[in-house]
Amino acid sequence: MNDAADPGPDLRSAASDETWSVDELVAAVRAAGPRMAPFDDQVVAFCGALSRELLGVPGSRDLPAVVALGYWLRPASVERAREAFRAQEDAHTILVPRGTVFHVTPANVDTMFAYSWIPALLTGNANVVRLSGRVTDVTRRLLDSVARVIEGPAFEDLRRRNQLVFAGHDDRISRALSSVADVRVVWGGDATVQHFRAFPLPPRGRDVTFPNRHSLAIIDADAVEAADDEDIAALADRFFNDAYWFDQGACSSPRLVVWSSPGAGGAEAPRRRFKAAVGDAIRRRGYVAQTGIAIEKMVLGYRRAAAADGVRYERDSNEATWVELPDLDLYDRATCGGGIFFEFVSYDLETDLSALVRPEDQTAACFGLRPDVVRALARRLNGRGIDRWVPIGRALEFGRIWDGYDLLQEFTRRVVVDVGRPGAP
Amino acid sequence: MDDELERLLDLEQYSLGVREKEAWLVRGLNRLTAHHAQRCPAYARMLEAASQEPLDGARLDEVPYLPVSLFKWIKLASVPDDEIFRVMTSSGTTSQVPSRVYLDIETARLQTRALSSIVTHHLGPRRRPMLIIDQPGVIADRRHLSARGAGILGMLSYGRDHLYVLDDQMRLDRAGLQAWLDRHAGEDLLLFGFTFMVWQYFCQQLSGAGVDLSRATLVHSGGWKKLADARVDAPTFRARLRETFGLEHVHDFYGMVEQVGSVFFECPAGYLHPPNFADVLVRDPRSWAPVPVGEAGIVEVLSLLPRSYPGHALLTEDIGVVHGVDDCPCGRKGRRFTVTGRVAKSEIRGCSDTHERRG
Repeated sequence: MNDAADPGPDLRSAASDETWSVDELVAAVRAAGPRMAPFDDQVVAFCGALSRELLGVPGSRDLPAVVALGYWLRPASVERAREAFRAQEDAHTILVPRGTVFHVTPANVDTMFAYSWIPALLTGNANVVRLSGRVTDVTRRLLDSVARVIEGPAFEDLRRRNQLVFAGHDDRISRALSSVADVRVVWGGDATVQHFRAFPLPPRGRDVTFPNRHSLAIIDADAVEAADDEDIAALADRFFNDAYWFDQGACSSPRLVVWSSPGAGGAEAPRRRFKAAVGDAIRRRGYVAQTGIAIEKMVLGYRRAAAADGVRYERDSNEATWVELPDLDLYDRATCGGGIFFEFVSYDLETDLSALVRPEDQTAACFGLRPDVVRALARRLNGRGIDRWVPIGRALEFGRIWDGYDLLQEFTRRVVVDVGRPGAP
Repeated sequence: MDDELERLLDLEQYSLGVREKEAWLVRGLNRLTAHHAQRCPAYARMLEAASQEPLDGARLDEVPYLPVSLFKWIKLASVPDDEIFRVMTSSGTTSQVPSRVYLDIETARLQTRALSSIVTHHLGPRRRPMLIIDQPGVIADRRHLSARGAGILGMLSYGRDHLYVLDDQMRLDRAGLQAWLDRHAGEDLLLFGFTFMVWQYFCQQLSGAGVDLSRATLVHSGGWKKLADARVDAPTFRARLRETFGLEHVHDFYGMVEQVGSVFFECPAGYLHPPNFADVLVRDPRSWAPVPVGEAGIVEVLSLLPRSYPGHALLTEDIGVVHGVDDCPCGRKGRRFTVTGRVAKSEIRGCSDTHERRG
């Protein structure tokens, strides 16, 4: 670093006009005053106000990610989180905030910073949320909403204890903020996680990391065959949401579609039916792929086809390419996104999943599978991978339990309170 | 050996009208599809996977095509390894991953012959004194040639008394240039270089210097992206060359390492022309069907030359327009087209900041 020249402010607030040097911000975080209790009234009120703001912004109905966040923050939902949190305490332990949480949020998923920040906020922590300077329209609107709400006089304590900042990839800033973090949350994939490992946390600090993930869908072929047209159209709409909301680029977006088909025959009819319905959903939603991604998908599809006999490559449209693999060994999880789906027909789901699943596998979005079957599968995999089994349509639905973490717990410490009864020996 | 291809190479270039030419090409391309399907297992699998039918269609647009960047990712060769005579590599402008194109002696020979038949059509059979608007280092290591180096190397044999007019700092050797011009006063000259370098390091530097290149022909290539950023289009480029040097004879050419020898030269009217043994299609980026004359789309290049690798029908990532058929004011037959841009790189959102595009 060049100390001689004035480098200008290091950090710019994302919710006000303030700027800080990194040292000023660190000092401000340390001086943020007494901690708040988990689910402090002020924090709960803030979530409610932000929810109303997000759901009330003109045009926000066209922004499904904003609406989803607005619902996630509404009082009933926060109350459920509070109950879940309280239920984790018991007669001899209570949960208390860890202190200061430093969030490194991803550039590409607009609402992610909020899903990282809010659980830490609710559990009483002070927060520094580092946002990428690349701001999408959705992020901009979200930040404007946060800025409007947080300025309210009722939220003064909260405002002092929560800083949303723009900062580039500056190692000096990352190091300084890491050095005061009781919890560091790193989103953004393997490379980002590895990068931040170089910056020490305080001795008692801990990392909560979100490396690269991969997700799949599991569909029961017989269930697709048995469903009526309306159900299939609705299923395709839900699949569309999972896959296309972030151009198939979210960690939870399905890339592989495993067809569970106990009978022989390749499940041709249900697969045709489902794919046609997905094509209809794409047209209904008016989703259009850029030419560049259409060509990239062609290249990836042909690459897989060239690798082995028996691959089927189907370009339904620029928006949906289906590549059927005769063997799961051919599948390597790499993708270019934008609507390319690898298909595998499984005649023995348990055996095939056992061979396939690896730690990077995150979400299995399912259709037509019995809950007890799924539970048995999850037990059988025994932690080798797949952190979420959800219905198709809910792959992107963020929850406080994510990537194997319960965020409400990650941001707290457990204090033993077990002094026995007064007078007892 | 393919007698029909030999005849197409022997014929005066650009002499075939589209109807006649397509009949030759479709026959030849279909034979190549079958040839590669038999000899290149990866290619056969791709055809099979996409159930490309028919494999012997009656129209150019029915010939199965591959996206050109596949050559970055998989080895596509239709000859056994011990017959590979040269591997051409090129890192395109948009990727660090180089294309790898496998040539046997036969394909390399066809490429040389083809290029020769095109270049001599435009420049005449006599080898002219040749000025290379680049630095000599660009072809120093012939086993690891850049696309730029390969382009220069391919053109060298059409000139003599070569002068590289830039040094390794891209500085113009004015004294050397003047001496070379004095030595060849009154002769027809050949200039060769990459479009952006011709503009930046030659034309701009010599503005007002009174250098007379009215007897020269400039052949340039490499694309317009950098010049478009500097707001220089083809007419501006030509006008400035005329003003600065009295240089009238200017040919852009369009070609790629995946189809060496099969180059599309620009005519005096400003259109690119496919030679007899090659052609171009412009496809709609949604339906992928050919677009009508005059409409922009994605350029597909077709060529009868690639025998050692399945590169006879390639979908590029360039945007182009076919402006007419058998109607160029310059008199050349066949399609006339221009390349107007490049498909925008895809931008995909996602959780990961660092998008890996590994194989």
